[in-house]
Amino acid sequence: MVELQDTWSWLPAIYLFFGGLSAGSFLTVALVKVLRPGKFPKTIMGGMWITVGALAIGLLSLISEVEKPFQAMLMPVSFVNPTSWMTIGAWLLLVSFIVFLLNALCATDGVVAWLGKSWKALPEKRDRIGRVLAMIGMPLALCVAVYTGILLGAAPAIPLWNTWLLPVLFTISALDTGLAAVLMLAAFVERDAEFEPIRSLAEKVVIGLVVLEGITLVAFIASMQAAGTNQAVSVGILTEGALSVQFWVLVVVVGLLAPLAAAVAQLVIARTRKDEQVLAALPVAGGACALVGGFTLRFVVLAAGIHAALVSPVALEAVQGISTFL
Amino acid sequence: MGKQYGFYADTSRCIKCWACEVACKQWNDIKAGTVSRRKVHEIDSGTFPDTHRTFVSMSCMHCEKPACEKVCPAGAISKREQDGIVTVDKDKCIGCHYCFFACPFGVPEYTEAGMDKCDACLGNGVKIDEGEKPHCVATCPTKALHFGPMDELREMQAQKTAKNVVSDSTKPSFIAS
Repeated sequence: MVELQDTWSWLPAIYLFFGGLSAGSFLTVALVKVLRPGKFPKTIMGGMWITVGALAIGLLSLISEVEKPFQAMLMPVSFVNPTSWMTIGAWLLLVSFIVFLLNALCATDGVVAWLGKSWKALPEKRDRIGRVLAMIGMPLALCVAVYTGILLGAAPAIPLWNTWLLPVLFTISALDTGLAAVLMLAAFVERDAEFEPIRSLAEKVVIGLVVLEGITLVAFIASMQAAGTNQAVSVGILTEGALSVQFWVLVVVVGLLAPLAAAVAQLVIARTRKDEQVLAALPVAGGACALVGGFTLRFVVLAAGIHAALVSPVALEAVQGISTFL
Repeated sequence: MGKQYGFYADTSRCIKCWACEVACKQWNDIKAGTVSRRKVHEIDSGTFPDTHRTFVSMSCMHCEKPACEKVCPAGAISKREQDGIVTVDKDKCIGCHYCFFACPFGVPEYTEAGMDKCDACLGNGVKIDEGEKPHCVATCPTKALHFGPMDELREMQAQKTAKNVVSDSTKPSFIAS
């Protein structure tokens, strides 16, 4: 019986999920904002605040995991070693959080009106500032999504994590869950008929992302199975071991197949008959499934990342090799 | 850099009495039930009736290229210039556990004070540069555990089939035979 990784608890999984969701929803909203300026204010504002809220939850989870959270918050003291990916990531997350927050404030009418009292030029410059902030935020958001995978991928002693496929997998999942969150929000708040073409385009993007994520997941598992005993033991926890139910049911069926089915069904129904209730319910149901799958993916990958020395004690093996000469 | 110091465990002499573990805990004031900087491992090999047991005492291997030092965000882990001993500054350590995921041997353990591992007894006042030995080595009743510059350890065991524990990525300063 192989035990699960417990040096990091489930809290970093919350960060990996919400960090990705934040990045994905920012990219979605910022793209809409840049491509269709001035449109869909409710979805933009809501999406920006989802971005800020998700990253805040993620950062709090991450900081709660360390032994000395308050010391860790003194970032200029605690994150100083430039050879560590965690240092680079911590500063990236801080800058991104500030930029995301500025984006959200800029998209909120009340805040702009209040600031407009003392800064008269703000209301007329708001669109330009908003676009610039969105442009600055997009590369940052992409980095935040990739970094969720790099944090684990840069740990050389964990065979399951130490692959470039992990950042790819987490990035695709980040885009997928972020898009799902924004589409769910839009289903509730967006009444503008002009949003329909965007919605149907988004459903096609969802299908593309799910297929891409599926291919990456297959590549990830296959490469692990082929890489060696350590990797095969770790990935076996997912495919046939202690976490196989969570993996196959929640990640594969609920997280990939259900959103795929929901997206396809929506495109078909929208083309054949205008059943508005079904059309409104599908993105919510599909999105919820994508979120459950995205979270479970982070959770199982984190928990299955057992240490190489525990999978097969390298040092002990070396000694064992010597002992046969005695 | 000065000479690289390290440990040498002679498995042909070790009787698994755990004196090194006990001395380590005593001298470093480690609370019961928390961390173990040094552990005596037992390896079973062969199949019955042709079986063999090997005992080896292991701790931090003070690698030439420590993976833990590289990933530590707080810069709390450093390698001493004069003897190559890898030490932790617990005041700087934020306890993020990232070094455990980097060390190929899973050495780092954690308490509320931060990461905890072998510092070759520098922390409790042993003067390595004056030839003093860490307490695990000094206490070993069978002289199975040795400490010193790596070239001397290699020389000491030249007649034996001593081998370095191999890890290309970190180059551990540890010999077992």
